[in-house]
Amino acid sequence: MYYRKFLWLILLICINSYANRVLAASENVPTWLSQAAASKAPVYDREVPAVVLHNEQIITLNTDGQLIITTNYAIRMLNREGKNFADATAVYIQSSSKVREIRAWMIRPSGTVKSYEKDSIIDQISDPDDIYNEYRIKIINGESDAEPGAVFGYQTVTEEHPLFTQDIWTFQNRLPTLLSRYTLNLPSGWQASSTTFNSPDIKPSVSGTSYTWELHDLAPIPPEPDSPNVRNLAPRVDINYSPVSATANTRNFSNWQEVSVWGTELHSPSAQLDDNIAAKTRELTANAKTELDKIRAIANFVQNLQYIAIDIGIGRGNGYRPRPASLVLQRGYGDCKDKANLMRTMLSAVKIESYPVFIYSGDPTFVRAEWASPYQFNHCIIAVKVSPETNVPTIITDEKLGRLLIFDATDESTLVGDFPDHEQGSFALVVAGNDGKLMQMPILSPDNSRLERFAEANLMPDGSLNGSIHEHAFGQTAAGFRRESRALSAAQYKTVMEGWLTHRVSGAKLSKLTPKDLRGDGRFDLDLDFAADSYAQLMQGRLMIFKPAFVGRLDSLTVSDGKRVHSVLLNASAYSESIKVKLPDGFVVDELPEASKIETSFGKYNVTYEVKDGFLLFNRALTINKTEVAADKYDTIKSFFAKIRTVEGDPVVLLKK
Amino acid sequence: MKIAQTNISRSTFNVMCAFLCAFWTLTGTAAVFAGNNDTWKPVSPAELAMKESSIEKDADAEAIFWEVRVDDSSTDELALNHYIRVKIFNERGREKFSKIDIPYAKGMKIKNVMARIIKADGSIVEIAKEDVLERDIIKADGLKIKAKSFAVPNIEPGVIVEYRYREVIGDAGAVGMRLTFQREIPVENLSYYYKPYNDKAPNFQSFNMSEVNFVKDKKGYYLATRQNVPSFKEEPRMPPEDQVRAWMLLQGVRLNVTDVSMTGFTFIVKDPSDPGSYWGAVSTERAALTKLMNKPVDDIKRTATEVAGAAATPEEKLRKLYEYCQTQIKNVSFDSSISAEQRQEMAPNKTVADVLKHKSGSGGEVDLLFGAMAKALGFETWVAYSGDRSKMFFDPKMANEYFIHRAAIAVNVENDWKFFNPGVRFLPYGQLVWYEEGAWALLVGENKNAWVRMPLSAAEKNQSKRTGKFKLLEDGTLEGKVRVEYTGHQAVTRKLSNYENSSVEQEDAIKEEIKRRIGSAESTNIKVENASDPAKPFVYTYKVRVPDYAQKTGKRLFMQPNFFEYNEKPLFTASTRKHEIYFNYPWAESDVIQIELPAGFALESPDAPSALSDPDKIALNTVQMFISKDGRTLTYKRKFYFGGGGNILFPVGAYPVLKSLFENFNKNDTHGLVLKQDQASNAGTTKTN
Repeated sequence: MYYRKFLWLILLICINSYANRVLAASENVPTWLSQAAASKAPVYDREVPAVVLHNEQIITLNTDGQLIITTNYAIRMLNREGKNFADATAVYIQSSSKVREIRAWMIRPSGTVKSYEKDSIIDQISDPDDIYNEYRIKIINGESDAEPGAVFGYQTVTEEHPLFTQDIWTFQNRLPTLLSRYTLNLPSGWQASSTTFNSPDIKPSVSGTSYTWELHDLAPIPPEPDSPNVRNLAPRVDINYSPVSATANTRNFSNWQEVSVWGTELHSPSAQLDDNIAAKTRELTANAKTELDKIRAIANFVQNLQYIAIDIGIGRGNGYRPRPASLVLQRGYGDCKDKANLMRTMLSAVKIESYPVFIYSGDPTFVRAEWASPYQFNHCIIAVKVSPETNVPTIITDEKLGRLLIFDATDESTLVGDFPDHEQGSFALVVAGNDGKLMQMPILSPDNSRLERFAEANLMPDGSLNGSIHEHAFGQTAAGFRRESRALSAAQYKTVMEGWLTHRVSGAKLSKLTPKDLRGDGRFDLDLDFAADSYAQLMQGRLMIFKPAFVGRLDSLTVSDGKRVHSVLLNASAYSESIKVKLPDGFVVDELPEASKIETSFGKYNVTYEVKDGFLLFNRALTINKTEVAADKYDTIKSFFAKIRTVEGDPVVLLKK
Repeated sequence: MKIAQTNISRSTFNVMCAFLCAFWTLTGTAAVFAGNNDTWKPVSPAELAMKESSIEKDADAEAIFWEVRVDDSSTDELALNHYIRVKIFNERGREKFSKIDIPYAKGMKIKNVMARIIKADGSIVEIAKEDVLERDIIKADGLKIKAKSFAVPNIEPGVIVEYRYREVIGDAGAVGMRLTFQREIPVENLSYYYKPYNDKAPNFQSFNMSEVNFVKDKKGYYLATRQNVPSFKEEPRMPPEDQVRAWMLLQGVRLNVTDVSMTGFTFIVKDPSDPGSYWGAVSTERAALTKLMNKPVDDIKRTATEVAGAAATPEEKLRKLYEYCQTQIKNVSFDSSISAEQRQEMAPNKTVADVLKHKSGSGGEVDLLFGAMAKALGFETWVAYSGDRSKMFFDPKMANEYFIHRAAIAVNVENDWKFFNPGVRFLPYGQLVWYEEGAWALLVGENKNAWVRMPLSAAEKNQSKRTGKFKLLEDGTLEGKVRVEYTGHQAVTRKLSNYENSSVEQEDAIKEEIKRRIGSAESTNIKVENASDPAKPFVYTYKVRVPDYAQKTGKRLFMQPNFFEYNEKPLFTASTRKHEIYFNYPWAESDVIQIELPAGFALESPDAPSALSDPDKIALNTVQMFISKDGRTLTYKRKFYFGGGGNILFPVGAYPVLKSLFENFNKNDTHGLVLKQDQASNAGTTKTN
C-alpha cells in the first residue's frame, strides 16, 4: 500500500515537472525559430522530405583573431523520411576549437515544444575509422521525436582561430530552403569580398564592417544518377576578409601563386633527404634503366605503404603539412600528403625534381580557378618533372615547370601513366613556390581505360555451352579490377565471378579462374573456363535459340524517369569483345540478328554477326567519351542505351536440319 | 553475496558489450592473454617463415594463437588478459590489422597495452607507449565509450603482429559471458583460460563444436582450447550465426528469492547443469505472470462474455476474443501515429484489467488481455516462452533463459494446445510469427509447466498469388494489369514493413521493386489493399508497360510468358558451400497470366517446361500453357512450393542438389516462347504438364 502511494507521488512529480518543462520550453524558443516555424512553404514534389525554413550563420571576428560562429537552423519535416534531418550538429577540432553552446527545440504540429536539455547532447569522434583524427561532433538527435509537420530548430555557437581569413557559404543542400543567410561581422578597419558560384552574382548588403549575403525561396535540387555533385549546383559564395591595411597574423590569398608559396613553405621542411631514404631509394631503383623505371619503382613502393589518415594539429595547419619523410619511411604508413612528400624526397635522391599537387578528390569539377584558397582542396598528389625521354599519357606541360608527370601515390591501384577518373580534368595547384600555378589535370582517352574480351565457346546439340574467356583490362578499368581482386580473398573472388557469369549463363560452373595483375605492363588479365548444362533453349527438338552476348551487358547506365533537370556526366571507357561460338552439329542458322551501329557525340556502339565454317563470329564494341551531356539531351542517352539493350538481347535462331 | 553481485553486474556487462560491439574491430572483439607477465612468448623460425595459412590456403592472415584469460576469482572485478599473435599473408591481412582499436566503457579499464611487429628476418619493431592513444569515442548523458588505439607501423605481408592488453571490468562476473571459438581469420590455437569464482569447476554450454571442454590448468585456471580453427564466413541462406559459429556460454547456479514474508522467504535455485530442474525453477518464477493474467476480474469476464456473444464452439469464441483484442485495443507497440509526447502522457497499465480499462496497451499487454479473457470464458490459459529461430535453434537441453522469450498465449482447446499472439498487430488468428513457428516452447501455467514444439505452417499458408492480364504488341512491348496477393508470413512481413509508411510511400516502394527487376517497366495506378488488416491478404495492383519486353528479329518475337519471373536469377550461384542451407519458412507461389498475342503472329514450336518435383514432396514447380482456339490468347499457369513436410533446413551435402534444383526452377520460370509472323495460328492446347 505504501509502495503504491509512493509510486503515485513520483508520477505526479514527473507529470508536474514535464508540464513545467514544456511550458518553459515554449517560452524559451528564440524569436528567429518562432518566426521560421510560422513561415509557409510552397507545395513540393512528394519525394521532397523536408524544407529548410531558416539557415543562418553569423560569423564575428574578434580583434584578437578569434571567430565566433553562431548557427541558427530550422527545418520542417514533410514526410517520414524527413525525420532523418532532425539533428543538430556542431563540428569542432579537439585541440583548437570549441563548441560553446548547442541547443535544440522540436515544435510539434500541435504547437507544443520540446526543449532538448544538456543530457541530450552526444559528443563523438567524427570518423570511427580514423585513429589520428581530432575532428569531433556534438549532436542533438531529434529523430525519435520528429513527425511530419513538426519543426526542428537548433542554435550552435562555436569558437575557433581560423587558419585563413577565408570562408565558403553554400546556400543550400538538396533540400528547398526558404531563407539562407550568412553574416560576417568584422572589426573596424576590415573589409570583405566574395566570389559567387553556381548562381548570378550575389552581392552582400553592407553596414559598416558587417556584411550579409542572403537568398530566399531556393527550390529543391533533386538527386539524379550521374549528375554533377550538388556542390556544383547549389549557389555558394567564397569569401575573403582582411584588414584594409595589411597587418601580420592574417592569412589571405589573392592569387594562386600566393597559395603555392604558402604550400611550398609548409612542405619543403618535411622533404629532407637522409641516409635511410637514400639507401632505400638506391635499393628500389637498383635495376631501373630509365627515368620512367626509376619513377615507377619509387611510386610502386610509396603507393603500397599502408594508408593511415593523420588529422592531428589541424588547427595549426597540420592538415596541409606532411610529416617528415624520414618518419613516414620509418613508420611505414602515412596519408596522402605523407606519401606524396616521401615520394618527392625519394625522387630527389635520384635527382628527379617533383612538386606536391593540391587537388580535390572525388569531383573533378569542384575546384574553381576564380577563388585562390587551400579550402578548395582535400587531397595531395605529386607532379614529377620528366625529360622528353619519358612518355606516358599523364604528362602535362607548363612553360616554366616543363613536362610534369601527374601521379596519385595514395591510390594503390592506379599505376604510373594512369590517373584516377575522379581527378581527371580537375583544376589542381602545382605547389612550386613562385612558379606554382593552378593547372588542369590530364584527361585520358577512352582507349587508355579499355577492356578487351575474347571468348570461344561450343554450343552443343542439347543446348549446353562450354568455353573460355580471356580479358585484358587497361587504365582505370584495370584499376577497378585490381581493387576488386585486392579486396577479395580467392574464394570470395571466385564467388563474385561465378555470380557475374551466371547472371547471363544460368548454372554456369567455373573450372578455371586466373586473374593476373600485370603491373609492369599496366594491365590486368583474367582467364576463365566455364561450362553450363543448359544455355540455349531447345524447343521440341527442332528450334534452338540463344543469345550470343552471354557475358557482360553493356547497357548498364542507370536512367531515371521523368524530366531530367541536370546534365549527365559520363566517364570515358572503351570495350571490345570478340566471341566465336561453334554451332551444334545438325543445326543450321535460320535467323541471325542484323549488324548494328549507333553513333552519337558521346559514344558509339557497333555489333556484327557472321557465320563461317560452322562458327558464329560475334563482335561488339562500345566507346564512351568523357562528356557532360546537357539535360535536354537526356533522351538521346536513354535512347542510346535502350538500343544497346535491345540489340544485346537479340537471339540467334537455329533449326534442326 | 557474490551471486547477488553477479546478477546485477552481468546485465550491466551485457549492455556494455552490446554497445561496444558496434565499435569493435576484428581485432578488438576478442581478448588476449599473457597472464600478468609482461614478457612475449618466443617466436619460432617456422612462424617467421610461414608463407600461407596451414588451415585455409587463401587466408589473408592467421592467428598463430589467440588467447584470453578470464579471471573471475575476485569479488570486485572481472579481469580478462588478451594476447594475440597474427601472421600477415597479403594486403588484405595488412589492411585488417593496420589499426587496432580497443574500446571500453565506464567501469572498465584497459591496461598494459603492448604491441610489436616481427619482420620475416626476425627484426622487431616495438610500438612505443606514446603511440597508443586514448580517445573518447562517444560521450552522452554520463555514458562514455573510450578506446585505446594505435596504428601498426611497418606492417606488410610476411610480418607477425602481436599485441596484448588487460581488460578489467568492475563489479562484474563471468557468468553470462559468450566465448567466441571461431574468429574472422583462421586460428591455430584458440584458447580460453578461465578461473571461476570461488574455485568452482566451470559451468558452461558449448555450441556448434563438440570437442571442447575445460580441463584443469595451473594456478586455479581451467583451459578450453581449439586447434586449427577455420575462419567464420557468412553465406546466403545459412542458419543464424549462433547456430553455425562455434561459441560457448559461461553460466552458473543462481539463487532467486521469489517471496518474502514475516515468517521467512522462498527462493528458487536455477542450476543449468540439470535442465529439468532448471526449467522447473524458471517456470516457478514465471508462474507469477500466468497468475497475474489468470486472476479473475469481473470487468474482464463481463467483456469476454459480451464479445463471445452467441459463439458456440471454442474456436468461434477464441476467434472473437482475438479479433476484439486486435481491433478494439489500441496496440501502442505498432502505432506510429502516437507521438513521443502522447506516449509520455499515457496512463500505465499496472494490471491486465487496466489494459481493458484504457483500451490500450503494448503488444505483450494485448496478449495478456487475450489470455485473461479466454480464461474468463473457462479456457485453460498458460503463457508460452519459445526460442527464436532467427537467432538460434533452441532446444530444452540448452538450460538458459537467454534463449527464450515470451512468444504467445497457449490455450488448451479440447486437450490440444493452441497458440495466440494478437499483440503482433498484423498476425492473423491461428498464426505465429515465423521465427516462433517450429520452435520449442516452455508453457508455464500457474502451478505446472510443459514443453511443446510449436507448429510450422505449411507452404500453402504462406502464399503469393500473382495474376496478370497483358497484351503483347507487335514491337515487343508488353502492357497490362497485375494483381499480387500475399497470405501468411509473406503478408505479415509486408504489412510490418509497410504500416508506418504513407500510401504514397507504399506505392513508391512497389514501383521501385518492379523497376529493380525490369528497368524499363513503367508502372502506374499502383494500389495497395489491406495493408493494416490482419485478417485479409496483403494485395497490390498496378498497370504496367514494358517496352521491348519481347525481342524482335526479322520474322520472330521471343517472349517469356512469366512476367513475374522476368530477369530473376537462380537462388544460388556459388559452387561450394560451408554451412547448412536454411529457409525461414515453407512458401508457395501461384501465377496465372493471360497474354493477348499480336495480330499476324503465331506460336512456333511451342514447348512447355517439364514439371519438377521430388519423391519427398519438398518442392514442386509446374507450368501449364494453353492457347485459345483463335490462337490469340496465351494462358500461362504456374504452381510452385518449397519446404513441403517442414523441410527448411538442409545439410551441406545437399547443396549441389539444391543448387541444381533452383537452377532448374529458374530455367522453367524463365522459359521462352517464339512467335513467328505470317503463319497459320497454332490453335488448341499446346502442352500440359
